Amino acid sequence: MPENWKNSGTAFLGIPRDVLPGEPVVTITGRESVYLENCRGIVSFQEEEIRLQAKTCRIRVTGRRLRIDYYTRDDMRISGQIRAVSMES
Amino acid sequence: MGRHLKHKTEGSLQVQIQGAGTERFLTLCGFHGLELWNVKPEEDGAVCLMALPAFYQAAPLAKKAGVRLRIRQKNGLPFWLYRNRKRKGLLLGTAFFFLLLYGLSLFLWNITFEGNAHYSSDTLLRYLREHGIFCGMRKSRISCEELEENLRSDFPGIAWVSAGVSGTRLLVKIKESEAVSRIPEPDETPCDVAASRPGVITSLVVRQGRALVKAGDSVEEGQVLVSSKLTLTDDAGETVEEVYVRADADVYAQTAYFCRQSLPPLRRVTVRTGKKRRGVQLQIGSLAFRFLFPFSEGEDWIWQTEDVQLCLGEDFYLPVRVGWVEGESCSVYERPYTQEEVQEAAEDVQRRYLENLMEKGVQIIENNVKILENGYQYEICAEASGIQQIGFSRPVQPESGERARQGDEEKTE
Repeated sequence: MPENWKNSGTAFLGIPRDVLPGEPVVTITGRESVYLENCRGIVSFQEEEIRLQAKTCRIRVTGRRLRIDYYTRDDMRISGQIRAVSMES
Repeated sequence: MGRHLKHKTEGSLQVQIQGAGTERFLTLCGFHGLELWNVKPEEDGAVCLMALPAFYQAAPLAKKAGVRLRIRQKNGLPFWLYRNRKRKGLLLGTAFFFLLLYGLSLFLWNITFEGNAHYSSDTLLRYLREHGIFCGMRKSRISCEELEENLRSDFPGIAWVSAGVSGTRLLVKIKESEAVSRIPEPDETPCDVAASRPGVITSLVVRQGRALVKAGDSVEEGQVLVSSKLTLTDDAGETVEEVYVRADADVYAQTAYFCRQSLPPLRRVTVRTGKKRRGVQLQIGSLAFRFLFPFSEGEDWIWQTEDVQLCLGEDFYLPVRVGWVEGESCSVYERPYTQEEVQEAAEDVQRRYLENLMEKGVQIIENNVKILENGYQYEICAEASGIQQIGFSRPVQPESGERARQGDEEKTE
């Protein structure tokens, strides 16, 4: 119920959804870099798959030779040969 | 770049994370604001880079996550300093470097002007040198307030000036006024108007004084054209008083101009051979060093240098200039002038001479150029005729017993 209220509130006020605190923001640049904001933690970390926990979902990045370029409290960048970025509830 | 530099100065560690709780450890590091980079998965964990302060903070987190941290590699300034702690020469060199920097920071190494359009930087630099401010002097001897005052008083076109020493640079910001700030006081000293050069008068407009010549008269150089002496007479025609005023008139005369220039018997011709050499030039103070490949003797070279003054940051200029020096080999020989070259030289002499005359306000009526050959060398004679203002003010000494009075009542005869 609060999520619905938040969604309708932002739609009514015309506020972009990425401004809402905690919503994950995923930016993919080419096939070699994924930039993520608002990730809460790392669930699994392997060369072919990285799974991350966000506030509302889990983000799964698959590919080859994956690595984390940098990881801070606010953002992180994954590089490698990206095959897919998917969301899991 | 900033992040990279920070990692180098703080020092960084390549850490191997071993254990089942690798993901948890990474999450805890992110949660506690510890930055990790270059995180790569390995068989039994991961390997990552972290800053030296972050490593100490990460120890309790590793214990909490149940992982073991192993240092694989140490990078950065703190470790480099520790490794080289026994090298006395290095320490001394570093200390000497900082002492040298400190010593250089006590002197002025660059003077920059901003906002000057009418007064060139060279003029202002010469002025500063005359007032004891130059590159290489002690910064403590510069009084910016005094410099600002002097500039304002000596350059009437400068409306606002701000001088400040920042680093090893003296920055002088100038705002020039478009209007003249002071109206010059009229000079009332009794003066005649005399001819600056011989000619035939074409027009004469007298505002004050007594005209001694009229249009059509031939005058010589130095001849008085308008006299400053005015004679006041009574009704009977007898002289009552003689007064001296500052004669003022526009006197135009047609005058002749003549210019003669000799060409040397042989012309020096420089031919570039196309062979080039490039090197580095280093200038420390007044000493300049060139680093070039050795070249054969007896060759003439034309050198061109392009250099910059070294600067640390924005304002810390050093007395060192580095740049490229490029030389082009050339052969020089002498040969007689051809007819076309003589003609070209004559036209050039005439053009420059006429330009010079027009700059002086001469209205050219006619001109011609002659080339004379005396069997040995050429001589170029440029002649011109033009109209020019020839009157100039020349002070007079009043005769004894007469009263020099500045003319309140203007009288033109």
